[in-house]
Amino acid sequence: MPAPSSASTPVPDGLSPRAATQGPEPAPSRGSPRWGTDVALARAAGLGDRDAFDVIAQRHGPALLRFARRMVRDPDEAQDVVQEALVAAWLSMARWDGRSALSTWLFGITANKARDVRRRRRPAPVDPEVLMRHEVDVVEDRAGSTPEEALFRSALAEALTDLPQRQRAAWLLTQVEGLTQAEAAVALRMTPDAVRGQLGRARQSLITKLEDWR
Amino acid sequence: MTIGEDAGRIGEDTVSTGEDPGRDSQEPHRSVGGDAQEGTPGDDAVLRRAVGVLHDEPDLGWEEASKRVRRMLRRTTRRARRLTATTTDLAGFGPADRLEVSERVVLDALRRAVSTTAGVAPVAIVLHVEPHADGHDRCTGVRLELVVGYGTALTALTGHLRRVVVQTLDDLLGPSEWVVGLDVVDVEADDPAP
Repeated sequence: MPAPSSASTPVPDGLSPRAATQGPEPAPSRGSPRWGTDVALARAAGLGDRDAFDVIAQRHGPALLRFARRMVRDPDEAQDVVQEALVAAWLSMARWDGRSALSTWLFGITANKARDVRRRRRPAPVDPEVLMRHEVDVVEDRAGSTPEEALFRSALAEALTDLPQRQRAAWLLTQVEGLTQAEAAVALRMTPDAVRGQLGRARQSLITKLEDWR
Repeated sequence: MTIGEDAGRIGEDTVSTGEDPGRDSQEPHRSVGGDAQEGTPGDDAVLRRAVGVLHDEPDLGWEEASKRVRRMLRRTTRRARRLTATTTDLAGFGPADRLEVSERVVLDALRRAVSTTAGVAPVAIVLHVEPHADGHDRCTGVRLELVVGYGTALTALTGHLRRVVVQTLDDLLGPSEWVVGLDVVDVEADDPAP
């Protein structure tokens, strides 16, 4: 059976063929103008366009990982969370209805996956390798910044860890990731008023925890 | 500042960490880093610093995570039906031979075929599949929902797409009397392709 030849069907007057870069399975090129809005990408990904989804993953993945990293304690767990979130997004891409921004939808899936990971987590003996890895992380972090900055990062990490999950998620999404309170409410399946309440409490807790840094 | 004034703008106000030396003295003070509560300049500064630190955090391993995600996605397949193709036009195929084509292959081919024309993008592609007398699923047609760019010549477009769709189905599933439905469900200002 021959390969599909419909791409060669002549385009009538009044229409134009898409640029040649639109050929079958083009290599993803994030800087290319071929890759446009989230809406167009999500539409294509929903119909099975893996290249379009790859651009979505590359575009939003770093922010999802940053968020996940603060929602779960372990860096490997954070990567698991993002991986599971993006696979879930790929499988359900056709169900994204565009009523919320794509980033809001992705953050919502990531928040759910982070919650799943925490639920699955059971008390376990501390793995010395994990401890070593955390130690290396801290050393590497300090190597790239002044001791004062590193101490502030450490204090901030501790303050965030102490926040209840909903407060932490609401604060991170609105303050660090730039979602509006309404968008955070959609992502976290809360009412906007509830998000506002969580933010107020998160703010007060962080101020108290970081008092020495004022 | 009152609580009500600030309530809807917290994210907007606080994500920007650009310093404006004159702002505090010229504008009403806005709290930073959370709810619309009155904050002291010291509170705001430490929260602004916290936001900046988190936002500018160095790479947290995205490159590695990205590779894992790609590997996982390559192994992840969406559920698809097996469609029986018509083989009467194929040399070497006898009456007892059967050729099956994954629904996913057909959907991908249709998406790509439609996407070769500027000014249109598919939103949904739904195959009409019916059980044949031989007990196997056969595709009888397809309905495409389309979004088009403003100003696209619809009559020419739909006629062209109908030919493209029929050609694609003929190529993959063998010649048949395809039922093709095209619905324009939205119009966008620009070319709707990604």
